[in-house]
Amino acid sequence: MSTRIPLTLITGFLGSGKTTLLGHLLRDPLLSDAVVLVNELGEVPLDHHLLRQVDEKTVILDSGCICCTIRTDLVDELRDLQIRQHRGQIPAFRRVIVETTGLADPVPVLATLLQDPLLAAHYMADGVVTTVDAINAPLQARRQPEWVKQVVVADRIVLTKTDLAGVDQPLVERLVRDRNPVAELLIANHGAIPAAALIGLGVLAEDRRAEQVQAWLAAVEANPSDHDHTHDRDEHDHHAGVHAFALRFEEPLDWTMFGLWLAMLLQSHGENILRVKGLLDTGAKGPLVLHGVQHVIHPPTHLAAWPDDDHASRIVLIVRNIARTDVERSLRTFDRLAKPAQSTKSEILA
Amino acid sequence: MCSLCGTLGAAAHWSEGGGDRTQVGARRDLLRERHRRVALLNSVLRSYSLSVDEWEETAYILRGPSGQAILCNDLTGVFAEVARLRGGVALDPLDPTLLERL
Repeated sequence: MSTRIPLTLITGFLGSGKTTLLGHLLRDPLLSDAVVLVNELGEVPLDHHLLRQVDEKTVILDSGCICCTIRTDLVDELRDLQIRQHRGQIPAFRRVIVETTGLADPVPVLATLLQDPLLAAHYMADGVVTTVDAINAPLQARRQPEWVKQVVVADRIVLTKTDLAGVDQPLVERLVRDRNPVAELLIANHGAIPAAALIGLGVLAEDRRAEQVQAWLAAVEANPSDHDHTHDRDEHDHHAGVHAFALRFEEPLDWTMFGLWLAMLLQSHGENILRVKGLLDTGAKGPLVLHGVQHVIHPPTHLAAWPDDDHASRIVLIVRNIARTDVERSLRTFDRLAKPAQSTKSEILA
Repeated sequence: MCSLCGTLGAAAHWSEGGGDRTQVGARRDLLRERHRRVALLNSVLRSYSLSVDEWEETAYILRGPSGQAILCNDLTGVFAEVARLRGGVALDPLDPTLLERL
């Protein structure tokens, strides 16, 4: 079991109710030992003993890759918190909640946790919670790329303002489900959601990884969006072509070749590979668990045993404008290329 | 580690995390896997007049068609440099022409 401190990211478009939600969450005893990092200190209607303000300072590296954007504010703040806790200058904390701005891309926060060695050793992403304003969702879904990104990376989606007149809730749920069939959808009653439904998700916890993949597979089966569209329906429609699908491979996959293939795929289509999760049969006793958000691939882990009797490799991808058949054909071709190589290993290593 | 630009090589690349490094002989297995990765990479790159060598168990040397030798930390770095050598065009594993060549 990991002893790293779980970090929950609360994101959502402008006016979607992040701060109201946070205000309710902070009343829950579950968060009594949480550090809360917000952008606007005055907006949270509570005096929480570990409420701190951070300004979203980012450094974009020379490559210009958005996922290499380091949230330096978070690096500084989270490092400082560790040091001060160690020195006894602040109460011990067991959780961190980060609220982003309404226009923020949540992925750099996740990347920052992996890229900074000290943060990687002390913190672990617990889950991404995204608030969705039910009134404005139909427009934002079409016009705001930030909205789409925030919805796609979510592990829990909280629908807000569903009680207001004019809300077409089934439409909003469909808009969200089409783009993220794997996140659990919750309805907020004036911002109130039990903290336990959003905190402690443990999306990267080693003892829950297999369960998480199984939940994704079940969600994709329950919400098939497996249409092989590769075209943009509307140049202003930022969610065009976003869909989820599952791939299944009965034979073991060659992990070395899989890594090569995925690295290549992320290099050429990274912006359109939104999420990936999978249980891979690499020929070991248990499966290898894969988890990635855009270019951010978490170090894969081997499980001691399969979670069920199905030992086939199963991979779920959420992508934009990429056809399932293309991905499957490509991976099968690369994997086949590796298989004869195994039989002539001595020749290769010579 | 960002999987697009391969910068900030403080941590091991995710693609090298598939094995159990706590086992006896893990280092030997890691080295064998690195050599095999190089062989597989070359099977993809050779038709583009590119090749890769293993370097000191820590990096890869990408060799271009006109003799360039570029040190890359990991797979992500290799494919970023391949794209650079190809004038910013990444090798696309979904490209039917590439699949045909394989």
